[in-house]
Amino acid sequence: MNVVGSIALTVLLVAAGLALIRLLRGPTLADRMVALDSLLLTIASGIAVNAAATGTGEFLDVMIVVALLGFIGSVTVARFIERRGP
Amino acid sequence: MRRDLFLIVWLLLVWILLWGEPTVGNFVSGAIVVTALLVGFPLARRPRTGVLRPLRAIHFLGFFIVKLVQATTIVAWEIITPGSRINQGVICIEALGASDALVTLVANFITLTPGTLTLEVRDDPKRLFVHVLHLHDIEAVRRDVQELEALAIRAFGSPQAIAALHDNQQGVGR
Amino acid sequence: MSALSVVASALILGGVALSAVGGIGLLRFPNVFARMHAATKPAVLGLMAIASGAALEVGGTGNISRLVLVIFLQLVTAPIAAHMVGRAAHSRGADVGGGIDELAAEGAAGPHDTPTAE
Repeated sequence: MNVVGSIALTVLLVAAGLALIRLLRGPTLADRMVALDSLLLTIASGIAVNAAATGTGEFLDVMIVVALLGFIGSVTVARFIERRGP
Repeated sequence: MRRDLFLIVWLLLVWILLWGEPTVGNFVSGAIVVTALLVGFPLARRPRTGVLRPLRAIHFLGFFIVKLVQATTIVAWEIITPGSRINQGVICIEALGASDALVTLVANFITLTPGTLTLEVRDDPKRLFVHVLHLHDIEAVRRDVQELEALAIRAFGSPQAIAALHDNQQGVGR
Repeated sequence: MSALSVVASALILGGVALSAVGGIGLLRFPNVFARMHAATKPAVLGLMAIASGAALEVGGTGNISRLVLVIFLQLVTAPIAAHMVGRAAHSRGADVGGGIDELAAEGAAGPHDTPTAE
């Protein structure tokens, strides 16, 4: 499981890096919000992988909060875009 | 009343899942928190006419899971391979006159499957505007969505909705 | 490795592969909507697969219940978030990728006010 965990975390790191590139490039706010949501989901996935690799569920609460924050952030930014433009 | 009960049970379940152990303390604290929430933020009362038919619901769920796996494979393949077969567009699909809750369910499932994204729901007549990634055949997408909706109505719809569905299908001559 | 571990490993690797595919799609696709297709959905499905794998691997009712909860919550909230961002982007005239656009023909969605008590 440690090997699998290491591979998984490396791949997630790459995915997070790609999302970061899109976050920086844009061009619109919606693009950045999608990238940020993807990044947060990657973080949550990383926490889950860590739980599997170490066998303890210490940070699972953080995972739930991160996933929820991703959702709430997306919805809030979406409403902002509607009202005031990208 | 029945809807309130459903909501209470669901919120209590989430609370207990969050805390992990189904102990007495969790139940009691959960009951307090749930009651405080429902009293402090009352939800709008909407008439609930849905009926749960377990077998049809499983059929619906199975159809959805199959579609989900298919669509994910297609989009993942699309992303990995070079060259691009995507042809995007937004199309309008007539909803089969079901209740708001059903249309919401179908819209959410459409959005969840990769390749389609519900952009807007309009009334009069009830329509869904869906953004599609591989728009090679509009009618095929329409048929897929309407099939999904028919399955949802058969699984969760009220008897009037099912009657309307039958009339609709007779009219189309299927 | 027990059978359960093998299944869990497969789920986890499949899930991270989906997340990676989502990341690649984020960079490759030319417009907002395609990027949303590519990024949010595989990421959510990937998280669900990873959480399932982790639930199989990690013991303890507390851990499993939290992982199951996250799967449930993502299943419910992700489509809503994607839909809202998509609607907002379209109402601001985002590029639909060159195909037909029946929503624009109908009259684009304007800003929506929150419905007050109904």
